[in-house]
Amino acid sequence: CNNLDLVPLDKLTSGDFYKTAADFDGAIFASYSSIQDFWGTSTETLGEAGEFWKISVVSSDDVIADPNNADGISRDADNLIIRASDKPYAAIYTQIYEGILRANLVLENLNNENQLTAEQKSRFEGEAKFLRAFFHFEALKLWGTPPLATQVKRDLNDLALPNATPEQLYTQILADFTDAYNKLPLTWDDANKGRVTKYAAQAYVGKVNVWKKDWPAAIAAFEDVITNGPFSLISTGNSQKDLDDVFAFNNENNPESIFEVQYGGPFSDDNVWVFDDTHSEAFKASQGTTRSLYWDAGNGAPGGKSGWWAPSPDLVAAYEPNDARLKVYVYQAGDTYYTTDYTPVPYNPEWSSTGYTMKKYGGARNMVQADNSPNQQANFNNERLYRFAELKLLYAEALIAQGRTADAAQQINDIRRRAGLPDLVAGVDLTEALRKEKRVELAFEPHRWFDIVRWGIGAQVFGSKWQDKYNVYPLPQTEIDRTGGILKQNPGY
Amino acid sequence: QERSVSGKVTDSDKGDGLPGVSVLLKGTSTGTSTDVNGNFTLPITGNNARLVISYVGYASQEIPVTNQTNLTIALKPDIKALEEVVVVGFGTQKKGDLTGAVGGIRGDDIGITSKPVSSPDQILAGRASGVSIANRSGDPGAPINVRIRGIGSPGVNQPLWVIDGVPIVQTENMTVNTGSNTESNPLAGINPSDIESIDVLKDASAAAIYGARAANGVIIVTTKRGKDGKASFTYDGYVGKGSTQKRLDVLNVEQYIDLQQELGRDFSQFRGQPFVDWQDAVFRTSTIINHNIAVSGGSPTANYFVGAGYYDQDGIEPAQGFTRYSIKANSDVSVGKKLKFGESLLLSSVNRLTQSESGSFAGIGAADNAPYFKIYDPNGPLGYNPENTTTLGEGGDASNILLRADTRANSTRIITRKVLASIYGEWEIIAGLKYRITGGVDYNVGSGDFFQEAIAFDGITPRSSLLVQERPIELTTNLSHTLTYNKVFGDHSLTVLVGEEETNFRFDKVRLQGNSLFNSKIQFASTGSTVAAANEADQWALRGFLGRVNYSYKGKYLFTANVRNDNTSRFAKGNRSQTFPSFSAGWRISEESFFPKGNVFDDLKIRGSWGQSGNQFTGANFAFLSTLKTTIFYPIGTGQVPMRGLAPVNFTNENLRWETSNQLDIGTDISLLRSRIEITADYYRKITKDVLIGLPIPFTSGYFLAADANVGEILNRGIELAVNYRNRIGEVSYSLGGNITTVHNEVLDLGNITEIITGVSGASTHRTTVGEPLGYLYGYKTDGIYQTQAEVDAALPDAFSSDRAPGDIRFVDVNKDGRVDALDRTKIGNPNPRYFYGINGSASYKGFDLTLLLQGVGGIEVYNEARVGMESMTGANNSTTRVLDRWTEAGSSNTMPRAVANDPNGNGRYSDRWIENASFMRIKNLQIGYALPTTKLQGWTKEFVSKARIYVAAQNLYTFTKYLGFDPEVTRGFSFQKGDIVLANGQDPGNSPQPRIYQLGVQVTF
Repeated sequence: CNNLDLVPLDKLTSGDFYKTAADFDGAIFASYSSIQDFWGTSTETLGEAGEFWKISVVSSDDVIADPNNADGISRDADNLIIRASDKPYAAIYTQIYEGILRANLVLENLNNENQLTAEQKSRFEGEAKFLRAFFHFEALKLWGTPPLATQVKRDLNDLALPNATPEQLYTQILADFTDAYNKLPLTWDDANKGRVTKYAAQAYVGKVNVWKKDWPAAIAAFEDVITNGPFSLISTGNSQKDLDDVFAFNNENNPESIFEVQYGGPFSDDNVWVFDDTHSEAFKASQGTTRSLYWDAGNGAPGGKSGWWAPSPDLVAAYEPNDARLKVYVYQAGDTYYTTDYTPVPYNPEWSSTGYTMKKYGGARNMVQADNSPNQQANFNNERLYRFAELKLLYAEALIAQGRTADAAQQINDIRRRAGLPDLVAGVDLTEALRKEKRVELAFEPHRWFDIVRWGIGAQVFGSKWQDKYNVYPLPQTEIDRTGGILKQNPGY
Repeated sequence: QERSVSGKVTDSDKGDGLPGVSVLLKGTSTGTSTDVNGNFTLPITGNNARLVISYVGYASQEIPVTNQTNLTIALKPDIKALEEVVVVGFGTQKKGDLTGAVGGIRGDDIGITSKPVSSPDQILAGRASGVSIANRSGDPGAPINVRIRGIGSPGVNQPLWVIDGVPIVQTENMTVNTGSNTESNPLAGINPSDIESIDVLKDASAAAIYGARAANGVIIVTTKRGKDGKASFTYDGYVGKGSTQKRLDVLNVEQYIDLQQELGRDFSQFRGQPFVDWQDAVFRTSTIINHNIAVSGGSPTANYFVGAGYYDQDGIEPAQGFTRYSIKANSDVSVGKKLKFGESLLLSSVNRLTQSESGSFAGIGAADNAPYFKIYDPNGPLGYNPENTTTLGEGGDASNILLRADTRANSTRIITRKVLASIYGEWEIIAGLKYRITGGVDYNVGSGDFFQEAIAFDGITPRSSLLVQERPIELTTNLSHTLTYNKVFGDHSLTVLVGEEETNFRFDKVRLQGNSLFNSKIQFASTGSTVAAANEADQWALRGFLGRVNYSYKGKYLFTANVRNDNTSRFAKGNRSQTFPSFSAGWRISEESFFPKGNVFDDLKIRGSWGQSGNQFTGANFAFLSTLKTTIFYPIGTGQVPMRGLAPVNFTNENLRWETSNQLDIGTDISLLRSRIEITADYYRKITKDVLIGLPIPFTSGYFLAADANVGEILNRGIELAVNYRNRIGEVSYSLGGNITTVHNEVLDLGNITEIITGVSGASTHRTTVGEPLGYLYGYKTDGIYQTQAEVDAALPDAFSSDRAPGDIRFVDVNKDGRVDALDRTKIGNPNPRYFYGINGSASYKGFDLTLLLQGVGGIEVYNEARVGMESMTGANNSTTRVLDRWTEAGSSNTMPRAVANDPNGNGRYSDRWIENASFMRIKNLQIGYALPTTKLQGWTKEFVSKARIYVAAQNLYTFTKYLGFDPEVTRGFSFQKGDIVLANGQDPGNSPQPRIYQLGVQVTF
């Protein structure tokens, strides 16, 4: 008789795993890996293309989707045509909860029989809770009332999760980040650089409390990070070089960086279209984003990039004269343009519908072969998700709310000085100054949209196009469908 | 010496004279027919004359004419049809003794060798009741959906094919890349010309012997074997020309520029440019060539059949080609009186060229090109016009399909080499007791190469060269033992079969990818400047114990019982085994003494069956085990080295078990008027339980791939009716037949799930709910167009709309809650055909013959996704001329909305606007042939050639349909998921249409 007790040939069975520290490393890396896909391209079943950019910056007033070249979803997001069936919501939602599952699997298996020391257990618990909190916080920012997933669910008939309230989410997120703060190491050795740290967790405790408007708690956390943490602003007095250093591919995980999504290559397959973990091609391809493919200039510019998205004239106008950041962040007439054909040429504003092209993460230093895949489709520069400059501005916001205006101005001025700008003049509206400073400092980083809705300035920014329902995005229609209505749609969608 | 012979032809049973009987002097065209009393007179010459007496419904006779002048010839009714042997699982039965629903076609009936079909499944189109055939694409070698009695499962619906005793495992493994359009038909390696007969086991009584794999029915293919007698050598061949049946009417240059102006794009610099007919450039005339030779013969103790075939067909779109080389060898040998051995061997190689991703859907891609975009530019890449802002204008949209499909720029080649072999030994232990062992191998070695040259489609963007080489190997081994006992005791006839069958399947694939090849003349991925490798592998095993009892009393009361117990590796131990029983009975009423003999009924049988069969195929193998994928990476450390991450990507369902289908069948077989009319009618009712489904589960589970699960019940019921009439008028004999099948598909139960919403690439376009057919089309309903601002002002809020103006589409508030939102999506169509039919006719006169086959599908709706691109007026691509009727002012249109940049109202959203009636009736085949008179032929060729026929034919001559796309024969939409997507079926991404083929062929026997 033939053998019916067969085992999978191309997968491990769970019973053989979650034993050693190396196993748990692998399990936690899988959770980190879900963040990569926010900026990824082509999840096989969804066909995504850099979706997180579309709903964090393209939808904002900082960026214009090219009316001819950009894909339909980008143009819609840019025009505030926002629909529950649009791809970005499902794409990011799936990556978020995939990452949460993977963190929960680590947490669950820590309590099963394994070879971990108590110290390793504690560290993995901190790391998994950090990631679980990070994912939930992103979900909270996007949707307001997304489900809370703290258990691995295994009953096919009981998988659907209902909306959580913001209070429930804040409680869980803060508990997880606080636990992570208590259990994570201060730093990692070189071989593990890029993994989350103790003060990254505390920095998030502060940030979450800003969203929660718990100003004293936010201030306490930020002050702990500033006083005891390893982070600092890169500020040597040479504005342009400092800013360049912040975003250079060969200066990743630098002292200003609190949390970065790691990308790196070209070690693997070069195919950016096979980036997700579930692709039937059975490999995860190039570990890079398609940043230059979508952001670099199109319309006949060398390099043949798509030129989907361009800095808005409104953003460019927001920079004060002599602001060093503009030159580091944006190409405009008179600049030298660098892209993946590695031949610098004079920048031609005709290449962009706005006359501008994003330069952040690009420019002379990053547009070199080592930072790009051989087929020039993928960039390996890490995405700076949370850096100390943002923390200082969040801290300033909390200080303003608590009436500590002088301390707040100091934080803002630190940022301004690094950009080569004079201090704020006395008597200036600090709230307005902070908001402007945050916009110009963090342009193209995934924050502007969330600030607009948090500050409630949608109508002011977008005028009559604004509808109040946009304060939260629609939950993915597919998830509403899959939960049989247990998950309720946000009002208005 | 000239004389005449006269005589009378009578019915051997009744002695009555038969009118209209053909009496022919053999080897000549001299002939006559009998008068009303059955009398005839015929002048004859020569001494060795022979008369050939033939009449529909009677066995023909040949009579030597000696000195008689007055003959009496008694013709016997022809009951051959009932004596015909039908191949059922692990044995054969006489058609008259069948108690199950079995449809069949014989090679002779269908003229397989003269039809321009590339695979055996295509032969069934329109030919067999209960069987529907839908081609995924007109690309030769593309997959084909074969459905027997509807769709019983959202998962696998392909029937089990058993070829010379070997069950075939059909997979999508033989490809490169994953785009669904590069998949191949796993049956395309089988040369249809080698086929002797196809028997379709439709009900559970017939199919249950295949147990766990029979839920979708079983198709048994028997290939040609040598016959006792003189050796013969045959040649069959044809050439054909294929072309498209339809093109789309698109805007000319001025109309296009005007429309784009309204959408905010300025292409005025191209005014006055000539219209470039891209469809004309892309659709081409294809060539089809087929050669088959065969030698066969045998003695009472041994026979042989050896054949070789060559089939070559280009697509009617560029970069489509299909070539098959095949060799077939079958033989049987008896050793002494007790032992018999035999083998069937097929070797074939299918070499397929199919469109690469960048050049896929060439027909629709041509139709929607900006109409001024030129094809050629001597200075462009490979001499083609590049796609850039100079040639297209800023924001212009066109793809140079001819460049993209040029194999120097891009190619996708899939070669599948197949060994399909079986060998058997049979030992008659004692009289009536036979042991038989059969071993079978289906070995497929694939080679899929995707190549991209470092050529820029826009003449600017550098693209590095790329070669992906996939090497899939599949091996299915099958071993069966059966013991059959056959005994007649007086009026009782008994056959008992017991057996065991084991199947093992193993799949291995290596994938290599090389970027920036050292020199693309050397097509090795390993020469790339970066090289990556990946592996895949899979396995499963199945073991079954089977038994069958056939009992009949006086040939009147017929009874069959089947049972099979199957064990599989695909489920957890506790769910691994299942027993599938079936019972059937038949009553040949016409054999009863009370039944009036003769006049009208020749044979009348009623039969009924009930039984179970199963399905073990799920989306993921080992879905019952918690498994971790090992190909997840995250770079960590200062060196940014990607570290391996592990995580599950499929939901684990430990409770996974068989899908079981329970089928009831009540049928009748009727033969009337000396077999002039034959009728087979069946009512069937099939309920599939514990349906195996890829269930879309909440994303919060952490999985976004569907979970394999057993959910609910699905009903398929309907009737099948096949009628055949044959007769002769003078020397013209003709036949006319038809079959029709109705399918009522309904989901009876979904457990505690209220709805399943699905679509390709994560879309929500199809829904499954209780009381409705599986995977119906689910979207918004439209209700005309807002004609005035007052109507817009009075409109209900619409969650999908950001801004509205007159000229926009009004969507219906289906649930009457005062607003239009996702809850207003509703059933807008059913992509499962409610009925399908075939009509066939034939006529022959002397050496001439004519055959006609019509195929039809009715009660079906399809989502014309290709039309969305060409009528939603959003992109810079070209549109169909239907948009010329767009809304411009109050009253100008109530169907085609206004043109507006960005479509803020969502006029292009998924709605009934894109759903079309895809019913069609197609003149599938029309053929006219002429056979040279045998005697003359033998005379001319000194008996070297014994038969010769030439013919002309047309395939897909005309399609009657209201469907607006290229072809109403539609299956799945395009995505990167492999296989059928039953829950998102009936979506037309602009597939290659079925070609119209004109052919000329000869058939010669030596």
